[in-house]
Order: sequence, then C-alpha cells, then structure tokens
Amino acid sequence: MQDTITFSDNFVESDVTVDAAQLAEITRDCFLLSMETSLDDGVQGILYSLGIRLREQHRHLIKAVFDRGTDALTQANDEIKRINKKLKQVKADLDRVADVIGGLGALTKQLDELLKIAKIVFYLGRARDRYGGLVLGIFVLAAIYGFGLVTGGRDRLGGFESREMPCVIIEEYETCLDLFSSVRR
Amino acid sequence: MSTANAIIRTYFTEMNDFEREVYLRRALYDPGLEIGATTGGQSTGLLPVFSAASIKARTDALALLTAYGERLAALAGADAPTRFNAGSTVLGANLAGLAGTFEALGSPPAGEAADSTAAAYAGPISTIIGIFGEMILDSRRDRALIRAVNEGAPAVDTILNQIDADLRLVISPQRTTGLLQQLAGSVRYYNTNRASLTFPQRQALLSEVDSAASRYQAAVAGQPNEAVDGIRDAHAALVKYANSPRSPKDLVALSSAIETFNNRLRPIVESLRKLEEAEND
Repeated sequence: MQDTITFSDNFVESDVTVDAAQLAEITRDCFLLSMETSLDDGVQGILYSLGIRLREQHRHLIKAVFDRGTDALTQANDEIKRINKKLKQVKADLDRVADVIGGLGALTKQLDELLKIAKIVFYLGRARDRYGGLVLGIFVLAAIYGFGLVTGGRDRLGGFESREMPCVIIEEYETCLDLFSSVRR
Repeated sequence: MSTANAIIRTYFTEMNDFEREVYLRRALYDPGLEIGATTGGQSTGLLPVFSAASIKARTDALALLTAYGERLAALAGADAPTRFNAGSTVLGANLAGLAGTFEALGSPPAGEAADSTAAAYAGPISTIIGIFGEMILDSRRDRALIRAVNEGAPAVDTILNQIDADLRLVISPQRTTGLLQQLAGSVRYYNTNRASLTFPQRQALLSEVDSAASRYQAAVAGQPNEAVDGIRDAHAALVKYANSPRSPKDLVALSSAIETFNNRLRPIVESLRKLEEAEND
C-alpha cells in the first residue's frame, strides 16, 4: 500500500510526490499563510481552500497508513493476550499450592480435635457400661455438640463437613503432592 | 500506566468525532458549503473515516499492555511462597500435636515408654519443607516472570512502535492540521465579515478565534508520543533486569523495574491531561 501521494494538476508545473509528514507540513503552511495579513485577501482565500483540499488528501493518506498497521498490531495483541493468560495461570497455581498447605494445617488440627472427641467418647463409653446407657448417651451427644460449638468443628471447613475430613485430608495431601511436583517441573 | 493509556486511548476513539467536528466547523464558517457524507465519492468526515476495526486494534493493544503490566506486578508481588512456608510451619506444629494425640490414645505395654519420634520430627521436617518449598515456588515465580518478559518483549515492542507511529504520523498531524483549519476558518470569517458585525457578534466570534488558537497551541506543544517513549524506556529496563544474572539484588531490581513500568508516567499523564483539558475548553 502506498505511503505517498502524487499531485499532478494546475498548481504545480510537474508531478510532486510527498509522504504523509511532508503533506501535513505543506497543509499547515497553507493554513498559516492564509492568516498572513500582508497577503491579498484573494490569495489568503486560495491558500485557505488549498489547505482544506490538501488536508483531505492527507486524511486519505493517513487512513491508509493507519489501516496498514492493524494486522501487525492484532497479531501482537494475540501474543500479549496469551502471555497474560499464562501469567494469571502461574499465579493461580502458586496460590493454590499455598492454599492447600494452609488447608492441610487446618485439617490436621481439626482431625486432632476429632480424635480428642473420640477419646472422650471412649471414656464416656466405659462410664456408660458402669452407669447405664440412656443418661450417658445424652451426655455424649451434649459433649460432642458443645465441643463442636467451641472448636468450630460443626462448621464447614474448606467446603467439607467435619465427618468427611479424614477422606478430605488424604485427597488434599495427594493434590498438594501433585501440584508440588508440577511446580518443581 | 493505565491512566496514560486511557488518555492515549481517547485520541484513538475520538478520531472520527474529530473529523466530523472539523467538517462541521468548516461548514459553519462557509455559508456556501453544502454538507454531505461524501463529495465526489470521497468521505467528507461527516461519517466515520477511520475503520472501527483499526481503532479497536489500538484500544485493545493499550488495554492488553495495561493488563500485562498489572499481571507482571501481581506475580512479582505474589505472597504464595511466603504463605507456603508459613503454612508448612503451622502444618508441622499441628502434625506434632496430632502425633501426641495418637500416643495418648494408644496404651504402650507395661514398662515401655511412649514413642514420641513422630512428634519430635514433624515440626523440624515441616520447617525444612517450608523453606525448600518457598525456594522452589520463588524459583518458579521468577522463571515465569522472566519467561513472560522475554516472550512478551517482541509483541510489546511491536505495540509500542505502532502506537508511537500512529501518534506521530496519524493522530498528531490529524489534530494539528484540523485545529489549524478551524482557526484559519474562524479568522477568515471574522476578517471577511467584521465590518458588518455588531460588537457582541464580534466579541463572540473573537472568543471562538481565541478558543481555536488555544487548542491549536496545546496540540502543537503537546507530544502524546512522549508517553510511549516513557513506557518504552521502562520496558527496556524491565527486559534488561529480567535477563541479568540472578541474585537477590536483581530480584529487587526486577520488581522495581515492573513498578517503574507501571508508574513512571505520572508527569506525562499530567501533561496529557492538561493537553486534553486545553483541547476541550
């Protein structure tokens, strides 16, 4: 596509080829001279009209220049889009590894608390054998419920109920190992 | 950088609006001009001259460049490695507690002491895992950053060069010649009709001339492509640091270069904003 324009008419004696920058410069000179008060009003008018005409030609030229750069820009945009996506993915991966290790710490603590409950149940079970089932059964339920309230054991942790935690811990450990090995690669 | 990009983006999105304004101003000062969408098959400026696809490619490029800088900064400042280390330490402490609970649940045979090996090792091992894990994640993050900077460099250069060329060869001449046409048109109209105008009419017209002269002056003084030079310098520094020998000092410099890439344009942003305000007066 051409970056220049050729004028061939009554204004000049021979064909004149100019690029966009030169044409803009000539256009500016025409407009500036059209405001030169020492020039005759008729000459000013011609310069003003010539400036308008040259600017229209300049507009066609810069439109061509503008459109020509679009393909290369679109390709570069696609490349940056791809890199941006990758940057986002890497950050998400790193965050996930850190989240999983944090979640494992919390889950381990939760399991510890559940085992302590089991210990209480064990001792209460022995007491039941001695003192009868119904009354102690009520005490057991109340103790578990109360412990859950205090420790947050009844709350959902990482989207899972407390009773699911042993399975979740195993899954999370596996996920962590997978992610960690992928990160090392 | 996003502010500078937003201002540069305005130049692109207003290209067709500006051409329409120039054309209608010309009609205002030339009662003999019949207005229309085309003249002799050529666009007059009343309807869009520059294609929407070409303008969108530019605005997309600026938006993507802004996102690129922000994502680099987000990854460079990611706290995942530190969080991994801290999480690992907490995990170690909790594992030690869990091991203690297991011991308490079990009943060692008479005469044998409880095995506290697991509890004794869980903490230190987790601390070591945490430190190594942090190093691995740090390394992964740095490699990803360097790779992104190096892979992105040619595309970023292409975008910056194209935007720079657009501003120098298309936007700036389009604005200066268009504003000068408006100024010359208002001056010519005043000179031609000044004898027949009333004082308030002359006052209003001279105010128009003043406004047109101010806008032209601002367009000539302002160099919007300087904003691109600022981004280009910051990007060159970023690539340089990304490829320097790795050391803690260079890591700090890399983060600093990313920050510079995003923030160094404040004075240019200010001058661009003033330019825009002057043009809108």
